[in-house]
Amino acid sequence: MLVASHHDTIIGIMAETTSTTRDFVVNPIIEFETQQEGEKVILLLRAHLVTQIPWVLLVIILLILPAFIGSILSLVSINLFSLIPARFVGVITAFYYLLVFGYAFERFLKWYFNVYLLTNERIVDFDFYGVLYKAISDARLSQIQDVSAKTIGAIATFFNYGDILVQTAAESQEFEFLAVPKPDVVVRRITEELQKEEGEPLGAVM
Amino acid sequence: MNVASFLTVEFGIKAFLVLFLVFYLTYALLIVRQVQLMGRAISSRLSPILKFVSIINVGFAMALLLLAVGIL
Repeated sequence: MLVASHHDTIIGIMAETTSTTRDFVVNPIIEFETQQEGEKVILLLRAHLVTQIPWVLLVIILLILPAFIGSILSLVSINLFSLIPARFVGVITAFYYLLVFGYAFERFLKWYFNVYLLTNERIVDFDFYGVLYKAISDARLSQIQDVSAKTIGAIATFFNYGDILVQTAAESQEFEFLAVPKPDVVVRRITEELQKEEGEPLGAVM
Repeated sequence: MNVASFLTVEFGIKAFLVLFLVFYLTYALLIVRQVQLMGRAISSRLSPILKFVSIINVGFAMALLLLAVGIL
């Protein structure tokens, strides 16, 4: 009864998110390149939104910085407009905002495309580290040997996110799901899928 | 032609702007390609919007480059 109630609570927590632009999505409406026929995506994970706050704050500071730069420089007796010809100021300002936008967009893409998927067949890890590096790796559920979660630090504990380490069979690599929300729920969901794959009933002791 | 009169502050700023805008335009084009590839790898409802934003980014970079080269 207790196990069933706990399971229902987990399903309840997991059913709360439906949008594919979030960090924790159950049964997302997405397709991926190597998806096989009949393969169903159960969980889509990204780094917790809290981990994105530093760059968002930086972008906000960079956006409002030009409004203060003139007065900051005048404090040290530097007149910016006497150094730069007036007709360049508009283009330089526009270029500055374009750079800030480019930085923000690249950071968003990095978050959005760094995705971990759990399907009924395997786990898939999409890595997107900047514009020049991307990698896609996967492991079948039958290759998974161990799944563990760790939550380190006050912020991670408060916002309930952590790293999940999935160890697979000898010749395959290790999978690390970094800073994903609700690590305990994710581990349980992976374990459930593993047990389904192995054909064991939940809670069965070997 | 006097080299000293050619190498003015204005020329320096313009050269700097054009050079960095060319770099930025290359970077923006790489982003478009990467968004295309990643959108193909994981397609969701947001993928077309991201592609559109990345193309707009290239458009702005190109417009600024033309402005820096031609008008200034």
